[in-house]
Amino acid sequence: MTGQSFSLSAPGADEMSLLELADRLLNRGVVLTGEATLSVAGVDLIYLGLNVMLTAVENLRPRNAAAAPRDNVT
Amino acid sequence: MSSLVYMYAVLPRAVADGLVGISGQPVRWVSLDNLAAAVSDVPADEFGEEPLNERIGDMSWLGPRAVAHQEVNSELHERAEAIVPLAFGTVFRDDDRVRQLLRDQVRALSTRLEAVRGCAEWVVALHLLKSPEVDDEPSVVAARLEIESTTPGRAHLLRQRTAALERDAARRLQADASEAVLAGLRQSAVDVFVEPLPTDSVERPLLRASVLVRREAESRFLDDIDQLRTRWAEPIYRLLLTGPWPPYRFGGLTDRA
Repeated sequence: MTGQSFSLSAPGADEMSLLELADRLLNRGVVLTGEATLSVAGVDLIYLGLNVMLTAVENLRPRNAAAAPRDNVT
Repeated sequence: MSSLVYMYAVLPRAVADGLVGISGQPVRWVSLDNLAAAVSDVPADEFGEEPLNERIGDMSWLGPRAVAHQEVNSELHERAEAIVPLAFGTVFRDDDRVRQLLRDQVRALSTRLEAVRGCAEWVVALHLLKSPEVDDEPSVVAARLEIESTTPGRAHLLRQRTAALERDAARRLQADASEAVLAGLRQSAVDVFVEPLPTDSVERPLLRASVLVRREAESRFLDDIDQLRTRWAEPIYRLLLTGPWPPYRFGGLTDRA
């Protein structure tokens, strides 16, 4: 009855789920732009295109707070 | 080779041993008082700020690591009452920095854990496949009647105006569909977050929303989705659903009541 819902916990996630996954996991950095083809594990995905920026992964940082979880790594 | 500490999620306590994380590394716990962070070691030459930013746009690199990240959080989500899953790429220099975060953010993290306790997240998108029928819209009906009963010269002008009315009516119907779907989602949700839409996309949906749903209300939520799918049906609309996700969006939202 909910044929279009699927769980993404399983390995071998399909093409759509990888796009969804990237969207969830990079939630502030993923923008969909024009056409693009990306290759994932040898399978060509044709979809709207991922233009990923990692400008703000510090998902935890409250506004105006100094401490970032990604503190880091220089 | 030097390593960094990659953080998957924060929970009230350690719930699982033996999980495997990115690049096959064991998931371990860094705990402080009533918080526990699930972490694993990752190589600095991939996860340092500069190499990470270089690689993150490469789906062949990101894909397996994003899947590993999600698999850890999915397992934890199944086993724990409350979890704040982090975005991909949350990296610390060492365990002390992780503890420092837990100490500095104890209030915010505890509040967020409570907000998502017992819940999962779903993503709903409403797509428009073709323009909705406007033949029955009052403004369009009236304009067409006027065309029939007027002179040929004036009818030409009216036809142009009618085309604009038809476009307006279609837009109105689409907005009504979005509103109705949003209202339907709210019926059995704890919270609904309307996602910003991509600005530059041919398949831009009418609506995209993250929905926080109590695990025990899931079957009711899925029934609501079925009803919405029946009401806003193909060939005009398509309602897409994914989930249940760990609460990536709602666990990360700041300052929401």
